[in-house]
Amino acid sequence: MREDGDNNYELAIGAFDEPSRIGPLTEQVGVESRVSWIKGMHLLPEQTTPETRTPQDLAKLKSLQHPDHDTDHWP
Amino acid sequence: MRYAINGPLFNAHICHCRMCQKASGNLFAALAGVNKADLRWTRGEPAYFRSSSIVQRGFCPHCGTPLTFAYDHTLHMNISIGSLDNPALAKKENQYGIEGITPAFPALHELPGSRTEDDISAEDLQRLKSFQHPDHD
Repeated sequence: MREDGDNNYELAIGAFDEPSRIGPLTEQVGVESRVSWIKGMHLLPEQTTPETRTPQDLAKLKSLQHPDHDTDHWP
Repeated sequence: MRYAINGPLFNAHICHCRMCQKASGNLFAALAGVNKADLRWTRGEPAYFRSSSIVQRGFCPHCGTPLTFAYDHTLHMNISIGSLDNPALAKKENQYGIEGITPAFPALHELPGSRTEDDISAEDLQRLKSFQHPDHD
């Protein structure tokens, strides 16, 4: 995201190779439209990906997204 | 881009898995289930990216908003909660893809907050006109 005339870009954190290394996050903006369930989100029941896929699906699952590193060729 | 859902939303959830992070550009994707037969595109059609061997993800071809997540052979699909006219209606029930959870996540709601009008100058605020579709037909 870049405002017209601004020298800086803002980059989507999920698009980094390692989102966990970005931070610490320091603020929330646009809170006028914040949805109420944000507050309890971290307390919701948790499941890992292998727990929510059939073994059949897991065996078939092959990501077609770019890996989190450079490659010589793509796709 | 507009769609209509004539049926229930179910299993609203967030997913922290790496694939959802990439597809949404975010720390997690927020999705709600809908029967494929209940969803109708009423203005424009999504573009699709086959993100894996078993899933296709739909997005707005003009602005990039993530819209759908669908397995090939199921009767239901998922719609992105942020694309609903009223995202607050989809009350979350589950967290998936916990293996990808980011350290920042649990305390997100405790970060200091500010309103849009407090962050931009009065001048900019006056000039600001959204080019996104409004939250109604």
